[in-house]
Amino acid sequence: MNEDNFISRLKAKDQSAFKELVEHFRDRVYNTALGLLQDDKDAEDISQEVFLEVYRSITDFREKSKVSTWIYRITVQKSLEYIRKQNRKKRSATLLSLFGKENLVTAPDNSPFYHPGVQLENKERTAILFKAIKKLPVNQRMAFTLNKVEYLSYQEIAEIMKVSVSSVESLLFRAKQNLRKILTGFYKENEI
Amino acid sequence: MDSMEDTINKTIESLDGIHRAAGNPFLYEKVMQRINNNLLNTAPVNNRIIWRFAALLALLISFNIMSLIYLNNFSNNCQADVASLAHEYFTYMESIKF
Repeated sequence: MNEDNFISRLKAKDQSAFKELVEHFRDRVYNTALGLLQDDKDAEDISQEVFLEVYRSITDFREKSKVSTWIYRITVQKSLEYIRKQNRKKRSATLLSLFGKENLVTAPDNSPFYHPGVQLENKERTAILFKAIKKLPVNQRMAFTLNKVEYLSYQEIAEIMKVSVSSVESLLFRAKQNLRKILTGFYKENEI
Repeated sequence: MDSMEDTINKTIESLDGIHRAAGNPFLYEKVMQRINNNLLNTAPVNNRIIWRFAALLALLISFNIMSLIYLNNFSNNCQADVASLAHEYFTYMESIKF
C-alpha cells in the first residue's frame, strides 16, 4: 500500500480506497477490540465505530504518524471509552442495589471469555488469564493486550499510547507482576 | 503435579501462539450503511438542534425583557419614594424654621 497516495485518495473520500482500508485493517481492529473488551458483539460494535470515526476524521489526519498507528489509537480510545461507560453502569447498579432496586439492574456478565484464536489446549488457561487482565489498571491492560494479543512491538505500542518505549517496558513489567498476584489469589481460592 | 509458580507461569504464557481473530466480512457494508443513514438523518437532527436553540434564545430574550421592565418599575418606584421623602423633609424643615 503506497501510503501517501492512499491517504490522498482517502481524504478525497474515494470509496474504493476506504473499502481497501477497512478490509486491510478489519481484523487488526476487531482483534484489538476483542482483546480489550472480551466480548465479540462489543468488539464488532467498536470496529464499526472505529471505521466511522476514520471516515469522519480522515481529512484531519496530519500524517505525523502512520495510518496503522492512528487506527490502532482510535481503536484503543473507543474501547477504553466503552470500558469506562461499562464501569459507570456497574457503579450505578451497585448504588441501585443498595436501595433495593435490583430489578432495574442488568446482571453483569461474568461468563469466561474464550478468544477464538487460542489453541485448544490453552483455552481454559487463557479464560482465567483474560479474567485477570480485566482487573489490571487501564494502561497496563492496554499495553499487555497490544503486546500479547496483537503482537505489537514496544515501539509500536509507545507510538499508539504516546509514551516512551521505557514506559511501555515498565507498564508490561508491572502488568505481569500484577497478573501474578491476581492469579496467585485465584489459584489459592480454587485450591489448584 | 505443577507447582503454583509453574501453573501461574503457564497461565501467563497461554497467550503465546494466539492467532488474530477475524472480523466480520461484511464490516465495510455495515459501516457504509451507517454512514449513509447518518447523511439521511442529518437534516432532521439539525432541525431539532435549531428549534431547541431558538427556544432557548426566546427564553433568554423574554427573561431580559422582564428584567428590564421590573428594574424600570423598581427604579420609578424608588424615584417616587425619594421624591416623597425629599418633600417631607423640606416640609419639615420649613415648619421648624417658623
